[in-house]
Amino acid sequence: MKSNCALAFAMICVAVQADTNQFAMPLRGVTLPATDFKLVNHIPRERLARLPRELPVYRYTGRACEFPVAALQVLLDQSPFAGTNITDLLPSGTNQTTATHGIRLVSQDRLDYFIVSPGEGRIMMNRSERGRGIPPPDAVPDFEIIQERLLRLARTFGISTNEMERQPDGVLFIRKREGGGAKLGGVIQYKSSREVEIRRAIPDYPFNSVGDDKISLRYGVNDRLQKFELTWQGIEPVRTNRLLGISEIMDGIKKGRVLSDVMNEYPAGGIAEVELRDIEIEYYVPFSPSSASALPTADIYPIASILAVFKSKTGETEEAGLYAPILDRR
Amino acid sequence: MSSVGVFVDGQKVHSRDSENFSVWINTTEWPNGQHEIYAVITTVDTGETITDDDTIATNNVIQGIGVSGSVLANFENYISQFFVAVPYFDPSQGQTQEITAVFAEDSYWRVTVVDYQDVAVRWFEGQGSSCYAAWDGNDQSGWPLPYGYYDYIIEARPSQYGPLSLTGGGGGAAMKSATSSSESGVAPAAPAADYKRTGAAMQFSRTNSGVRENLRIPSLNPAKPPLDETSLRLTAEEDEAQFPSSAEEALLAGLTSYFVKGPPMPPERILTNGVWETVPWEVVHGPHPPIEIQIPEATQEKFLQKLTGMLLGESAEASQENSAQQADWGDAVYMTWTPLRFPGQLFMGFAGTVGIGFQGHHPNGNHFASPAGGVISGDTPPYGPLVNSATIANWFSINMGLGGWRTSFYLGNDNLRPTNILYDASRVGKFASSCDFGLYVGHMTAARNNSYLGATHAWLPLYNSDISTATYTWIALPRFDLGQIGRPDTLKWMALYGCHSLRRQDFNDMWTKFLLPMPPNMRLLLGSEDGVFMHPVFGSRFAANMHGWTTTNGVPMTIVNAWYDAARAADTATAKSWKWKSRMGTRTMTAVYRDTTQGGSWKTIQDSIWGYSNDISYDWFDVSIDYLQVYP
Repeated sequence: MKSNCALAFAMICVAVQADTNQFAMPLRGVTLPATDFKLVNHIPRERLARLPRELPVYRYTGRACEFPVAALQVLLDQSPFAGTNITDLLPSGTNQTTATHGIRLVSQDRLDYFIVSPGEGRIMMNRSERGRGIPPPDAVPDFEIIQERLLRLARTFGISTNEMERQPDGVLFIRKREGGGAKLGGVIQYKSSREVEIRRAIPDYPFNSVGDDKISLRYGVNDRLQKFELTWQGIEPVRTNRLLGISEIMDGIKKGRVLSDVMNEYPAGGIAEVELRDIEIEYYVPFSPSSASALPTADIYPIASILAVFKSKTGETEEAGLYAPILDRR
Repeated sequence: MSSVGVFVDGQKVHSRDSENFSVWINTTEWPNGQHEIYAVITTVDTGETITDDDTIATNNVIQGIGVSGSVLANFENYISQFFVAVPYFDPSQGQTQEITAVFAEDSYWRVTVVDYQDVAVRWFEGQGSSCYAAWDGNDQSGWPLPYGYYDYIIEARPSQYGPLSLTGGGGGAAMKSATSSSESGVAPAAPAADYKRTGAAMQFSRTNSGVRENLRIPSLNPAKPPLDETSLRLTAEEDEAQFPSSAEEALLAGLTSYFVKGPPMPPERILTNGVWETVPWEVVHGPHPPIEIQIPEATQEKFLQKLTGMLLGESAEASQENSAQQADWGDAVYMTWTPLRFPGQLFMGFAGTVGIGFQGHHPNGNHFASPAGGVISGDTPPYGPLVNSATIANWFSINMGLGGWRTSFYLGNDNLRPTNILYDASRVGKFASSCDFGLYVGHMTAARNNSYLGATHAWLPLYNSDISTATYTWIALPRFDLGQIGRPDTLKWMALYGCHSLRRQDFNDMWTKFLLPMPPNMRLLLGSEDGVFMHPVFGSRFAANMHGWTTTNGVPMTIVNAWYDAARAADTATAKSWKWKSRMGTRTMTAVYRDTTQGGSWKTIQDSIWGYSNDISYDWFDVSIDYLQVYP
């Protein structure tokens, strides 16, 4: 494998004088703090060969989601507003199988709510635990049970596994989280919740979650549903574009069309050389810096996410991430 | 990115990030008469672009601006020019909020200030063709009211019909309840002492006094009708353009009739090449002619009278007044409320204060000795610069400010000194005394073994580059001055965004040994079980969560949930970086709160910055820890 990689290295060494950079990824990428560096490509050829030649650009449809009334009723029955008939909340004459009208039930102290917002593709149910007792050590359903319920709910809401985020080995990326507490200096310890969450990915490109879209289910003590959240507005491809080749991407980097990951660190001696080592494609949704959440009207488009190594003149190195445009809009 | 601005007479009244939305305006905020409403969309394409000549790849931002056609709306309200003077005001600085309005005729009027529960807390009354009230933030008895969102209701009744009744109009009920609560003796409230309302409280549903307009932006989204219909439609539109379409337009043109579009006609079925097709009526019969409407003589006469008045030099106001009189306002109590137009806002005072300390300028390299007892992160001690700590702090300050929370101090890098944090009997800690909400962002770690205090706890390594013999000042969490018994400290919530800042085992140890810094003023202490990622998304998200900007219903998250969610967002974003994607592990955040097992009715874990109760337990047994795994 090592020898294959060595053979596959494409060595491109060029001096770079970057120009104006107006490629922006708020809260993800910042301007590279160097303009004059040697750019070297050591991305294995087979990695480059695996990149698709073209990819679609997506956009949120903005159309109201149609939520099955029966599924909403199931959630409502487990919410603090149990006993409410979902059809009583919908305008008369509404299609009895799907709801495209918003529903908003909020307790007086605003800690419990059941919100359906078809326009945003969003359902939020929350129950706040107000009990005064000390919970038993672990009376919360297991992750497996919650996961099964979540997948069933996802199917009911028309979400297929093709749209769900996966791990690099192809397995669904199911995020499991446990909550708990301790009292009396740890004498009493208990589990208070278990949550399972699945985030959305672009069909056919499932290794990166998109924006904040997700479906999650959290249960508390004695199988009480604490929280359900669905954010899954419809998306659709709006066009398909050719992807730039590595030489075009490198040309772009030379011209300053590159951003440095906000989590990067830099060699104290500055950046004399940038060595490209790996590349992946990520679908990116522009962020609103103020609310720190995805902009619903923006394009969801592929970008190149590049593993690089910054090297200083004195030999210091830092592993880093770079982002570069990969879409050719011609 | 794109935004759509909605303008009335050239003034932007709404801005949205979405393409399809409904917005409201309160038409009583403008003078009566005709107004122009339109929308402007701005798009910014930040993706890569190729120039037209196809030779040079550029990445210039492409900006696009589109302007919709204007909608002319006629505002005709008994109450007009409703105006609330300043964006917000702070009575503690001697400021007042001024409320004015103009009436169609001489009126008895009342301006009522109501709190978020629609309870009238102050009212002003008078008679005239306009009203003016200057509210100083006090209730009717002169006691200062809690800071928060207040709405202004104006009621007016034509004076020819008599004065306003005490319980008249929609505000009557509120007025009645205010009177009774006033009689029962409302206790004075210290400003901001018990502020209990949410940003969402301003989401009054009482906005039905405006006109609702559906605005389209045809220039950006041109309809593409079938070719054969397009020509017909254009012809019809051209024909319509030649004739007046309203009585006013016709009279101004010296005509006595105008034209309206004919009713829609049913489609026709025709046989084309042996196939039956359904086609628009106009394809078969040609453009549907407009229908001529004769203007009644009485209307023509009224118009002439108005015109004569204008020619004789009557002022616009008088003309407007005449017009209003012609509208024949009957006996009613006319009302308006909830100003939506800038600068009118509903907030009185400020919601609270935040104090922020951060450090990110630590030098690279392991130059400094660990504290006695060592630290848990021996391989990765808390050294090296944190480039995003300032970004996190800055966004937190910005977003808290946008929600009405003032930053009372902002101490970064060398400006953050041990004296700001460390307890000393001779002074009062900055965080303890100068803010309601404290946030520290920067390096932290936890003790490996018992420290000199005889417990394990978090350490804060404070760095000062000014000192020539630079070293860390290791501050133990139990030594933080977050308030003291017997001191009137303001700090309620303290958040420590640093690695291992509040581990469960440290909580247990500190609690058992009474070392946990949870003085009576403290309601929440937020921290982390594991290492945290200094991702810039954290600061803005944490504040946005607490204001309810990230929730569908606009209800602010509880502080603890906001903490957990922001950490989750930061971790999820960090996991996309090459540097960390394979090293994320699991991440758990923690929160120390006051439970209710020994008394009180309110768990402080339910606190939001906008709503909390003071009926809490101060019993040490109720000081508990909550944790939630936030990643993956």
